[in-house]
Amino acid sequence: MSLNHTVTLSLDNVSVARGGMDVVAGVSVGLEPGDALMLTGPNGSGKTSLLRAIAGFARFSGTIAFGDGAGPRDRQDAIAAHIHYLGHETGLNRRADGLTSLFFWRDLLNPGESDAGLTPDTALQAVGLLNGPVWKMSAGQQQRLAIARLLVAPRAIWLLDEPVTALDAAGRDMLVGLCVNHRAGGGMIISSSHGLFPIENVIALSLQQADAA
Amino acid sequence: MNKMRALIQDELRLRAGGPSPYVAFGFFVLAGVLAPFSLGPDPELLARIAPGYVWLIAAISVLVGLEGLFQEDIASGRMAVLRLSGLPSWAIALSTMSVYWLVVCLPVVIASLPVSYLLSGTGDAALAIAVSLLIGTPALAMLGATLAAIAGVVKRGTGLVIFLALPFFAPALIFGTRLAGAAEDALSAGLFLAAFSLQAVALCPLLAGLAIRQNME
Repeated sequence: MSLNHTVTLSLDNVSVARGGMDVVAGVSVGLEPGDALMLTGPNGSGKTSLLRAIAGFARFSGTIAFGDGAGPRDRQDAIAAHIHYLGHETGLNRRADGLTSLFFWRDLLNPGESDAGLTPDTALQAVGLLNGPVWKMSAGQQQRLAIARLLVAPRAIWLLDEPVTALDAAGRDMLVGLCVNHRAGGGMIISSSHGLFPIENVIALSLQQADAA
Repeated sequence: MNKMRALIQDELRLRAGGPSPYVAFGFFVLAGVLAPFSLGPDPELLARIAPGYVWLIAAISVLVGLEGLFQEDIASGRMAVLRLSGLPSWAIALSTMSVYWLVVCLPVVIASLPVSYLLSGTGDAALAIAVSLLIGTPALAMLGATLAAIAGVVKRGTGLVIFLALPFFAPALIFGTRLAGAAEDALSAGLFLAAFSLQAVALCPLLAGLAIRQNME
Protein backbone atom coordinates (compact mmCIF):
# COMPACT_ATOMS: atom_id res chain seq x y z
CA MET A 1 0.00 0.00 0.00
CA SER A 2 2.96 2.29 0.42
CA LEU A 3 3.21 4.91 -2.28
CA ASN A 4 6.65 5.58 -3.45
CA HIS A 5 7.52 9.21 -3.28
CA THR A 6 10.91 10.10 -4.69
CA VAL A 7 10.92 13.87 -4.32
CA THR A 8 13.93 15.58 -2.79
CA LEU A 9 14.04 19.11 -1.45
CA SER A 10 16.97 21.42 -1.05
CA LEU A 11 17.11 24.78 0.64
CA ASP A 12 20.08 26.93 -0.15
CA ASN A 13 20.79 30.04 1.86
CA VAL A 14 17.10 30.73 2.40
CA SER A 15 16.16 33.92 4.23
CA VAL A 16 12.61 35.00 5.00
CA ALA A 17 11.77 38.57 5.90
CA ARG A 18 8.74 39.70 7.81
CA GLY A 19 7.97 43.33 8.45
CA GLY A 20 11.21 44.39 6.80
CA MET A 21 13.41 42.22 9.05
CA ASP A 22 14.87 38.81 8.38
CA VAL A 23 13.21 36.32 10.74
CA VAL A 24 15.00 33.42 9.09
CA ALA A 25 18.52 34.01 7.85
CA GLY A 26 20.61 31.81 5.61
CA VAL A 27 19.12 28.34 6.11
CA SER A 28 20.66 25.59 3.97
CA VAL A 29 19.58 21.98 4.17
CA GLY A 30 19.09 19.08 1.77
CA LEU A 31 16.39 16.46 2.31
CA GLU A 32 16.01 13.02 0.75
CA PRO A 33 12.88 10.85 0.51
CA GLY A 34 11.99 9.53 3.96
CA ASP A 35 13.73 12.33 5.81
CA ALA A 36 12.15 14.31 8.59
CA LEU A 37 13.26 17.82 9.44
CA MET A 38 12.34 19.16 12.86
CA LEU A 39 12.44 22.91 13.25
CA THR A 40 13.08 24.06 16.79
CA GLY A 41 13.63 27.45 18.31
CA PRO A 42 11.93 29.97 20.57
CA ASN A 43 8.73 31.80 19.66
CA GLY A 44 9.37 34.28 16.92
CA SER A 45 12.40 32.45 15.57
CA GLY A 46 10.74 32.02 12.18
CA LYS A 47 9.58 28.39 12.17
CA THR A 48 6.21 29.26 10.67
CA SER A 49 7.78 31.77 8.29
CA LEU A 50 10.13 29.13 6.92
CA LEU A 51 7.29 26.62 6.46
CA ARG A 52 5.20 29.25 4.68
CA ALA A 53 8.12 30.12 2.42
CA ILE A 54 8.49 26.46 1.41
CA ALA A 55 4.75 26.31 0.73
CA GLY A 56 5.03 29.36 -1.51
CA PHE A 57 3.01 31.75 0.68
CA ALA A 58 5.85 33.96 1.83
CA ARG A 59 8.52 35.78 -0.10
CA PHE A 60 12.07 34.62 0.50
CA SER A 61 15.54 35.01 -0.86
CA GLY A 62 17.82 32.10 -1.71
CA THR A 63 16.81 28.89 -3.44
CA ILE A 64 14.17 26.30 -2.61
CA ALA A 65 14.39 23.52 -5.18
CA PHE A 66 12.34 20.37 -5.64
CA GLY A 67 14.09 17.38 -7.18
CA ASP A 68 11.34 15.41 -8.88
CA GLY A 69 12.83 14.58 -12.25
CA ALA A 70 10.16 16.66 -13.94
CA GLY A 71 12.63 19.08 -15.47
CA PRO A 72 12.46 22.83 -15.10
CA ARG A 73 8.99 24.11 -14.43
CA ASP A 74 7.14 26.73 -12.48
CA ARG A 75 7.78 26.51 -8.75
CA GLN A 76 4.06 26.90 -8.03
CA ASP A 77 3.35 23.78 -10.10
CA ALA A 78 5.93 21.79 -8.15
CA ILE A 79 4.43 23.05 -4.88
CA ALA A 80 0.93 22.07 -6.01
CA ALA A 81 2.20 18.61 -6.88
CA HIS A 82 4.23 17.82 -3.77
CA ILE A 83 3.24 19.92 -0.77
CA HIS A 84 0.73 19.50 2.00
CA TYR A 85 0.59 22.37 4.47
CA LEU A 86 -1.02 21.95 7.87
CA GLY A 87 -0.79 25.26 9.66
CA HIS A 88 -2.02 26.63 12.96
CA GLU A 89 -5.28 27.34 11.18
CA THR A 90 -6.94 24.16 10.01
CA GLY A 91 -8.57 25.61 6.89
CA LEU A 92 -11.88 23.87 7.55
CA ASN A 93 -15.19 25.05 6.15
CA ARG A 94 -17.34 25.47 9.24
CA ARG A 95 -20.50 24.84 7.28
CA ALA A 96 -19.41 21.50 5.84
CA ASP A 97 -19.26 18.20 7.66
CA GLY A 98 -16.25 15.94 8.02
CA LEU A 99 -16.90 13.68 5.09
CA THR A 100 -17.87 16.39 2.59
CA SER A 101 -14.69 18.27 3.58
CA LEU A 102 -12.62 15.21 2.73
CA PHE A 103 -14.38 14.66 -0.59
CA PHE A 104 -13.74 18.33 -1.40
CA TRP A 105 -10.04 18.11 -0.53
CA ARG A 106 -9.62 14.90 -2.49
CA ASP A 107 -11.08 16.50 -5.62
CA LEU A 108 -9.22 19.76 -5.05
CA LEU A 109 -5.77 18.47 -4.17
CA ASN A 110 -5.39 15.29 -6.20
CA PRO A 111 -3.47 15.70 -9.40
CA GLY A 112 -5.58 14.67 -12.36
CA GLU A 113 -8.02 11.85 -11.87
CA SER A 114 -5.85 9.62 -9.74
CA ASP A 115 -7.47 8.07 -6.71
CA ALA A 116 -4.22 7.08 -5.13
CA GLY A 117 -5.01 8.38 -1.65
CA LEU A 118 -7.28 6.89 0.99
CA THR A 119 -10.99 7.16 0.40
CA PRO A 120 -12.62 9.84 2.55
CA ASP A 121 -14.36 7.19 4.69
CA THR A 122 -11.11 5.35 5.36
CA ALA A 123 -9.25 8.58 6.06
CA LEU A 124 -11.90 9.59 8.58
CA GLN A 125 -11.48 6.25 10.35
CA ALA A 126 -7.70 6.55 10.21
CA VAL A 127 -7.80 9.74 12.26
CA GLY A 128 -10.37 8.29 14.66
CA LEU A 129 -13.31 10.53 13.82
CA LEU A 130 -16.99 9.95 13.30
CA ASN A 131 -18.66 12.03 10.65
CA GLY A 132 -20.39 15.17 11.88
CA PRO A 133 -20.67 18.91 11.24
CA VAL A 134 -17.38 20.74 11.52
CA TRP A 135 -18.78 23.46 13.77
CA LYS A 136 -19.71 20.86 16.38
CA MET A 137 -16.17 19.48 16.54
CA SER A 138 -13.71 20.39 19.27
CA ALA A 139 -10.37 21.96 18.40
CA GLY A 140 -8.70 18.55 18.66
CA GLN A 141 -11.27 16.92 16.43
CA GLN A 142 -10.90 19.69 13.86
CA GLN A 143 -7.15 19.13 13.92
CA ARG A 144 -7.72 15.41 13.32
CA LEU A 145 -9.95 16.22 10.36
CA ALA A 146 -7.27 18.52 8.96
CA ILE A 147 -4.75 15.69 9.36
CA ALA A 148 -7.06 13.45 7.33
CA ARG A 149 -6.55 15.93 4.48
CA LEU A 150 -2.97 14.65 4.23
CA LEU A 151 -4.29 11.17 3.56
CA VAL A 152 -6.92 11.72 0.85
CA ALA A 153 -4.48 13.34 -1.56
CA PRO A 154 -1.03 11.72 -1.58
CA ARG A 155 1.73 14.31 -1.61
CA ALA A 156 5.40 13.80 -0.88
CA ILE A 157 6.16 16.66 1.48
CA TRP A 158 4.15 17.30 4.63
CA LEU A 159 4.70 20.70 6.22
CA LEU A 160 3.35 20.51 9.76
CA ASP A 161 3.26 23.61 11.94
CA GLU A 162 2.93 22.64 15.60
CA PRO A 163 0.71 19.73 14.56
CA VAL A 164 0.13 18.23 18.01
CA THR A 165 -0.86 21.35 19.92
CA ALA A 166 -4.60 20.61 20.07
CA LEU A 167 -4.29 16.82 20.10
CA ASP A 168 -4.66 14.43 23.02
CA ALA A 169 -2.11 11.68 23.70
CA ALA A 170 -3.92 9.20 21.47
CA GLY A 171 -4.12 11.76 18.69
CA ARG A 172 -0.41 12.41 19.01
CA ASP A 173 0.37 8.71 18.73
CA MET A 174 -1.94 8.49 15.73
CA LEU A 175 -0.12 11.32 13.97
CA VAL A 176 3.29 9.84 14.79
CA GLY A 177 2.10 6.55 13.26
CA LEU A 178 0.92 8.31 10.12
CA CYS A 179 4.26 10.07 9.81
CA VAL A 180 6.17 6.76 10.18
CA ASN A 181 4.05 5.28 7.36
CA HIS A 182 4.50 8.36 5.22
CA ARG A 183 8.28 8.23 5.59
CA ALA A 184 8.35 4.49 4.92
CA GLY A 185 6.73 5.26 1.56
CA GLY A 186 9.40 7.81 0.72
CA GLY A 187 7.51 10.81 2.02
CA MET A 188 9.15 13.74 3.73
CA ILE A 189 8.14 15.57 6.91
CA ILE A 190 9.06 19.09 7.88
CA SER A 191 7.61 20.00 11.21
CA SER A 192 7.92 22.66 13.83
CA SER A 193 7.41 21.65 17.39
CA HIS A 194 8.40 22.45 20.92
CA GLY A 195 9.66 18.96 21.60
CA LEU A 196 6.20 17.45 22.00
CA PHE A 197 6.19 15.60 18.73
CA PRO A 198 8.17 12.37 19.20
CA ILE A 199 9.21 11.18 15.75
CA GLU A 200 12.52 9.41 15.41
CA ASN A 201 15.60 9.85 13.26
CA VAL A 202 14.97 13.49 12.60
CA ILE A 203 17.31 16.10 11.23
CA ALA A 204 17.13 18.88 13.76
CA LEU A 205 17.35 22.48 12.66
CA SER A 206 17.54 25.01 15.42
CA LEU A 207 16.43 28.47 14.40
CA GLN A 208 17.65 31.43 16.38
CA GLN A 209 16.23 34.85 16.57
CA ALA A 210 17.93 36.51 13.64
CA ASP A 211 17.73 39.96 15.15
CA ALA A 212 19.50 38.89 18.34
CA ALA A 213 22.48 41.06 17.47
CA MET B 1 -12.22 21.53 -14.32
CA ASN B 2 -12.76 18.89 -11.67
CA LYS B 3 -11.00 21.10 -9.15
CA MET B 4 -12.99 24.15 -10.15
CA ARG B 5 -16.26 22.27 -9.75
CA ALA B 6 -15.24 21.00 -6.32
CA LEU B 7 -14.22 24.50 -5.30
CA ILE B 8 -17.50 26.05 -6.42
CA GLN B 9 -19.48 23.41 -4.54
CA ASP B 10 -17.55 24.15 -1.37
CA GLU B 11 -17.98 27.90 -1.91
CA LEU B 12 -21.73 27.40 -2.23
CA ARG B 13 -21.80 25.44 1.03
CA LEU B 14 -19.79 28.13 2.77
CA ARG B 15 -21.53 31.26 1.45
CA ALA B 16 -25.13 30.08 1.20
CA GLY B 17 -25.00 29.05 4.86
CA GLY B 18 -23.56 32.39 5.94
CA PRO B 19 -25.43 35.52 6.97
CA SER B 20 -24.64 37.66 3.88
CA PRO B 21 -27.45 36.43 1.58
CA TYR B 22 -30.07 37.00 4.25
CA VAL B 23 -28.77 40.39 5.29
CA ALA B 24 -28.62 41.64 1.69
CA PHE B 25 -32.01 40.22 0.80
CA GLY B 26 -33.63 41.50 3.97
CA PHE B 27 -32.17 44.96 3.56
CA PHE B 28 -33.32 45.17 -0.07
CA VAL B 29 -36.89 44.04 0.58
CA LEU B 30 -37.25 46.20 3.67
CA ALA B 31 -35.91 49.32 1.99
CA GLY B 32 -38.20 48.70 -0.97
CA VAL B 33 -41.35 48.06 1.01
CA LEU B 34 -40.76 51.01 3.35
CA ALA B 35 -40.29 53.52 0.51
CA PRO B 36 -43.99 54.49 0.20
CA PHE B 37 -44.06 55.22 3.93
CA SER B 38 -41.13 57.60 3.89
CA LEU B 39 -41.69 59.14 0.43
CA GLY B 40 -45.47 59.35 0.55
CA PRO B 41 -48.10 57.29 -1.24
CA ASP B 42 -48.21 59.37 -4.44
CA PRO B 43 -48.27 56.69 -7.21
CA GLU B 44 -46.83 58.99 -9.88
CA LEU B 45 -43.88 59.98 -7.73
CA LEU B 46 -43.17 56.36 -6.78
CA ALA B 47 -43.42 55.21 -10.38
CA ARG B 48 -41.03 57.94 -11.50
CA ILE B 49 -38.35 57.22 -8.91
CA ALA B 50 -38.73 53.43 -8.96
CA PRO B 51 -35.82 52.63 -11.34
CA GLY B 52 -33.33 54.89 -9.58
CA TYR B 53 -34.46 53.96 -6.10
CA VAL B 54 -34.41 50.20 -6.70
CA TRP B 55 -30.97 50.44 -8.28
CA LEU B 56 -29.67 52.43 -5.34
CA ILE B 57 -30.87 49.99 -2.67
CA ALA B 58 -29.69 47.03 -4.78
CA ALA B 59 -26.20 48.54 -5.01
CA ILE B 60 -26.06 49.09 -1.26
CA SER B 61 -27.35 45.62 -0.49
CA VAL B 62 -24.51 44.14 -2.57
CA LEU B 63 -22.04 45.94 -0.29
CA VAL B 64 -23.39 44.70 3.03
CA GLY B 65 -22.23 41.13 2.54
CA LEU B 66 -18.67 41.93 1.58
CA GLU B 67 -17.26 42.10 5.10
CA GLY B 68 -14.31 39.75 5.33
CA LEU B 69 -15.15 37.96 2.08
CA PHE B 70 -11.55 36.89 1.37
CA GLN B 71 -10.11 37.90 4.70
CA GLU B 72 -11.94 35.18 6.60
CA ASP B 73 -10.66 32.54 4.21
CA ILE B 74 -7.12 33.74 4.71
CA ALA B 75 -7.47 33.86 8.50
CA SER B 76 -9.04 30.40 8.71
CA GLY B 77 -6.29 28.82 6.62
CA ARG B 78 -8.79 27.83 3.95
CA MET B 79 -7.10 30.03 1.36
CA ALA B 80 -3.78 28.26 2.00
CA VAL B 81 -5.38 24.92 1.15
CA LEU B 82 -7.02 26.36 -1.96
CA ARG B 83 -3.74 27.77 -3.19
CA LEU B 84 -2.02 24.38 -2.82
CA SER B 85 -4.53 23.00 -5.33
CA GLY B 86 -2.50 24.52 -8.15
CA LEU B 87 -5.43 26.66 -9.26
CA PRO B 88 -4.21 30.18 -10.11
CA SER B 89 -5.28 32.76 -7.57
CA TRP B 90 -7.45 34.54 -10.14
CA ALA B 91 -9.47 31.34 -10.58
CA ILE B 92 -9.94 31.08 -6.82
CA ALA B 93 -11.05 34.72 -6.71
CA LEU B 94 -13.37 34.19 -9.68
CA SER B 95 -15.12 31.28 -8.00
CA THR B 96 -15.57 33.20 -4.74
CA MET B 97 -16.93 36.23 -6.59
CA SER B 98 -19.24 34.24 -8.87
CA VAL B 99 -20.71 32.37 -5.93
CA TYR B 100 -21.10 35.68 -4.11
CA TRP B 101 -23.12 36.98 -7.04
CA LEU B 102 -25.17 33.79 -7.10
CA VAL B 103 -26.13 33.75 -3.41
CA VAL B 104 -26.26 37.50 -2.69
CA CYS B 105 -27.11 39.33 -5.92
CA LEU B 106 -29.37 36.88 -7.71
CA PRO B 107 -31.92 36.75 -4.85
CA VAL B 108 -31.93 40.56 -4.90
CA VAL B 109 -32.56 40.57 -8.67
CA ILE B 110 -35.47 38.19 -8.20
CA ALA B 111 -36.86 40.18 -5.28
CA SER B 112 -36.64 43.34 -7.40
CA LEU B 113 -39.61 42.11 -9.46
CA PRO B 114 -42.22 42.37 -6.69
CA VAL B 115 -40.50 45.36 -5.09
CA SER B 116 -40.42 47.27 -8.39
CA TYR B 117 -43.99 46.29 -9.13
CA LEU B 118 -45.01 47.63 -5.76
CA LEU B 119 -43.41 50.99 -6.53
CA SER B 120 -44.05 51.41 -10.26
CA GLY B 121 -47.39 49.69 -10.50
CA THR B 122 -46.76 48.16 -13.93
CA GLY B 123 -45.34 44.78 -14.82
CA ASP B 124 -43.37 46.17 -17.76
CA ALA B 125 -41.51 48.64 -15.61
CA ALA B 126 -40.78 45.97 -13.00
CA LEU B 127 -39.43 43.63 -15.67
CA ALA B 128 -37.20 46.36 -17.14
CA ILE B 129 -35.72 47.05 -13.71
CA ALA B 130 -35.09 43.38 -13.01
CA VAL B 131 -33.41 42.86 -16.41
CA SER B 132 -31.18 45.88 -15.88
CA LEU B 133 -30.16 44.55 -12.46
CA LEU B 134 -29.45 41.13 -13.95
CA ILE B 135 -27.06 42.76 -16.43
CA GLY B 136 -25.52 45.21 -13.96
CA THR B 137 -25.12 43.31 -10.68
CA PRO B 138 -22.17 41.19 -11.89
CA ALA B 139 -20.19 44.41 -12.15
CA LEU B 140 -21.25 45.43 -8.63
CA ALA B 141 -20.33 42.05 -7.14
CA MET B 142 -16.97 41.84 -8.92
CA LEU B 143 -15.94 45.41 -8.11
CA GLY B 144 -17.12 45.21 -4.52
CA ALA B 145 -15.36 41.90 -3.90
CA THR B 146 -12.15 43.19 -5.47
CA LEU B 147 -12.22 46.21 -3.20
CA ALA B 148 -12.83 43.90 -0.25
CA ALA B 149 -9.77 41.86 -1.24
CA ILE B 150 -7.64 44.99 -1.51
CA ALA B 151 -9.02 46.51 1.69
CA GLY B 152 -8.23 43.21 3.43
CA VAL B 153 -4.59 44.29 3.45
CA VAL B 154 -5.64 47.02 5.85
CA LYS B 155 -6.91 45.84 9.22
CA ARG B 156 -10.65 46.48 9.60
CA GLY B 157 -10.86 47.70 6.03
CA THR B 158 -14.58 47.14 5.55
CA GLY B 159 -15.53 50.75 6.17
CA LEU B 160 -13.01 51.61 3.51
CA VAL B 161 -14.77 49.38 0.97
CA ILE B 162 -17.97 51.37 1.16
CA PHE B 163 -16.22 54.65 0.39
CA LEU B 164 -13.97 53.17 -2.26
CA ALA B 165 -16.94 51.55 -3.99
CA LEU B 166 -18.64 54.89 -4.60
CA PRO B 167 -16.81 55.96 -7.77
CA PHE B 168 -16.68 52.43 -9.13
CA PHE B 169 -20.39 51.87 -8.69
CA ALA B 170 -21.35 55.20 -10.29
CA PRO B 171 -21.17 54.05 -13.96
CA ALA B 172 -23.33 51.00 -13.23
CA LEU B 173 -25.88 53.17 -11.44
CA ILE B 174 -26.00 55.73 -14.26
CA PHE B 175 -26.40 53.25 -17.10
CA GLY B 176 -28.48 50.79 -15.10
CA THR B 177 -31.02 53.42 -14.11
CA ARG B 178 -31.34 54.65 -17.70
CA LEU B 179 -31.92 51.11 -18.94
CA ALA B 180 -34.37 50.37 -16.13
CA GLY B 181 -36.27 53.61 -16.71
CA ALA B 182 -36.69 52.77 -20.40
CA ALA B 183 -35.25 56.16 -21.34
CA GLU B 184 -34.88 57.04 -25.03
CA ASP B 185 -31.29 55.88 -24.98
CA ALA B 186 -32.15 52.67 -23.09
CA LEU B 187 -30.53 50.43 -25.70
CA SER B 188 -27.16 52.14 -25.70
CA ALA B 189 -27.29 52.42 -21.91
CA GLY B 190 -27.94 48.68 -21.75
CA LEU B 191 -24.98 47.96 -24.00
CA PHE B 192 -22.73 50.15 -21.89
CA LEU B 193 -23.96 48.40 -18.77
CA ALA B 194 -23.28 44.98 -20.28
CA ALA B 195 -19.81 46.09 -21.38
CA PHE B 196 -19.12 47.44 -17.88
CA SER B 197 -20.12 44.10 -16.34
CA LEU B 198 -18.04 42.12 -18.82
CA GLN B 199 -14.88 44.11 -18.26
CA ALA B 200 -15.40 43.79 -14.48
CA VAL B 201 -15.72 40.01 -14.83
CA ALA B 202 -12.57 39.93 -16.93
CA LEU B 203 -10.34 42.22 -14.86
CA CYS B 204 -11.49 41.99 -11.25
CA PRO B 205 -10.51 38.34 -10.60
CA LEU B 206 -6.94 39.15 -11.68
CA LEU B 207 -6.74 42.12 -9.32
CA ALA B 208 -8.39 40.27 -6.45
CA GLY B 209 -6.07 37.29 -6.95
CA LEU B 210 -3.07 39.59 -6.77
CA ALA B 211 -4.43 41.22 -3.61
CA ILE B 212 -4.95 37.81 -1.99
CA ARG B 213 -1.36 36.77 -2.68
CA GLN B 214 -0.03 40.04 -1.29
CA ASN B 215 -2.29 39.65 1.69
CA MET B 216 -0.89 36.27 2.65
CA GLU B 217 2.76 37.25 2.52
